[in-house]
Amino acid sequence: MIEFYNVQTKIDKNIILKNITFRILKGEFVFLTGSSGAGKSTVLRHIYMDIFPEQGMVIVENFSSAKIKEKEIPLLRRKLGVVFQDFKLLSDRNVFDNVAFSLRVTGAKNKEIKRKVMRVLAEVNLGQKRNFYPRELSGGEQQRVAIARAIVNNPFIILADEPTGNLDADNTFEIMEILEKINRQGTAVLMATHSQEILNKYPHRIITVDNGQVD
Amino acid sequence: MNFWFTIREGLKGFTRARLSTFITITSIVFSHFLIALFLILSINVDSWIGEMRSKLELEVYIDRTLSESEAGQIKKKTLKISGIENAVYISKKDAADRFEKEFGKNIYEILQSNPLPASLTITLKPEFRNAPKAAVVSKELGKIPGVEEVVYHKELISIIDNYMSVVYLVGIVIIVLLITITFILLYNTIRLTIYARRDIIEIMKLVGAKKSLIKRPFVIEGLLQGAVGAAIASGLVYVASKLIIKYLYPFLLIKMDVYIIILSMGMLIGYFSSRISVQKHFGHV
Ligand SMILES: Nc1ncnc2c1ncn2[C@@H]1O[C@H](COP(=O)(O)OP(=O)(O)OP(=O)(O)O)[C@@H](O)[C@H]1O
Ligand SMILES: [Mg+2]
Repeated sequence: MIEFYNVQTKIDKNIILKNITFRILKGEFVFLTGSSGAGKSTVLRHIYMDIFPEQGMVIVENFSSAKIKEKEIPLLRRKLGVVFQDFKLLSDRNVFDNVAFSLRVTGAKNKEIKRKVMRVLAEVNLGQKRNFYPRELSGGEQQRVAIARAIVNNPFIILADEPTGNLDADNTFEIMEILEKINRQGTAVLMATHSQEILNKYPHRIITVDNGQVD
Repeated sequence: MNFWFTIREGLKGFTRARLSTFITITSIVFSHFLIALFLILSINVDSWIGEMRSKLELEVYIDRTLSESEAGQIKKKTLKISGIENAVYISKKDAADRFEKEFGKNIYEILQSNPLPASLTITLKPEFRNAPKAAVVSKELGKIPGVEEVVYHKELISIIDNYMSVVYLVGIVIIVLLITITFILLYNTIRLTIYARRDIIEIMKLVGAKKSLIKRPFVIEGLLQGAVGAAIASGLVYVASKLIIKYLYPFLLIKMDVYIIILSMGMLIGYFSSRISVQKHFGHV
């Protein structure tokens, strides 16, 4: 359901991705690894169609990078959940409203928002802290809020770009367990990481990006 | 739902970029207040000038050798000329009476005869009460056989005309300048707000908000700033006009239109400047 066909991409005349081809199946858990600057984040950006290949094609569910219209990009993104190293929470609103945000922009009803947000907050163990502001939370807790926000729309895949990059060992473990749990419930996970420890500990398929190419 | 989302996020913009919002609203108040004053001034000047112009009359002196009935024929001919509102016939006797009224002496006692010619006092239709049109009418009148001379305050109306065009020109230049400044300030405030809220814009894009939904709060914010500034200006104009009427000039004319014009101007400037700003700066966040 995610397919890269001979993807080649340039940013400002530099070739960043070279002839990349791979496929991620429904409900799979896949690691994306490689050294800094190899192109991991760029691969993920292709999936949420923030960047487009110059040659080749990216297919995400029933959307194709070659055919998608600008207007359809929001519809694609509602089927994905994205999580980053720096959490990207809104500091002017509490945990509940941060998670509710991704439902509000789709025009969901208040009752539905409440039900879904409470459910995912329970999922990441933050029901008690729904009225806290991001600055009142630890890094691990902030990342759990970000994960809750990513899954509240019932995405078919979570794209996580070094989600544990800013976290200590305990919090890393906690986040990994949550991602595993989400994956067991049927959501695919594509996670970019540097960490050899994580790769060793969680035995999932690994795609290595090396200088813009995959093996 | 999306409506409230837009309003809520639009209002949040006020609290970001707070200083520039404050400066912008203040300058909208200031510029709209000045614009309203110009409008009121021009309404009043217009009405004075209109009054002066309505007093414009052309005196048509009729050949002394003509009889009363021949003079009556001339009056009929003048009324056929376009632009003439009315013609009043002043007979030799009327002229003598007028003379007596004005100078307190009977002309027969002084001169033993009446040399005053009969005449027609012509008033013009409002749209003809200016120098070039009056000149055309005057020329037409002069062509009528039996008309000896046409006299009117030529210089006075050219002065009025010139003066008015200068006043209008200066007014328009100043208003355009004020609008431009307001526009630029608002444009810039929205730019700063977009920059201040680039985090929320990024997140909205990531969670699949439609572009129009992302942009709308900023446009609403500009519209609100324009509306709030113009409303405050309207309030100030209202108070100022009451004070002027009470203490300075009781005849001040002020029309409802002034308030309507500045309110709609505030909203239009707010709407368009923020739309253009959003259009311009959205790609860079
Ligand atoms: N916006 C950009 N402008 C210019 N170059 C860019 C841009 N984004 C990425 N690059 C370049 O593309 C290459 C791949 O970047 P990318 O962020 O995908 O690497 P990464 O594997 O995610 O690295 P890291 O592990 O450090 O996050 C790098 O050489 C980077 O310099
Ligand atoms: Mg990266």
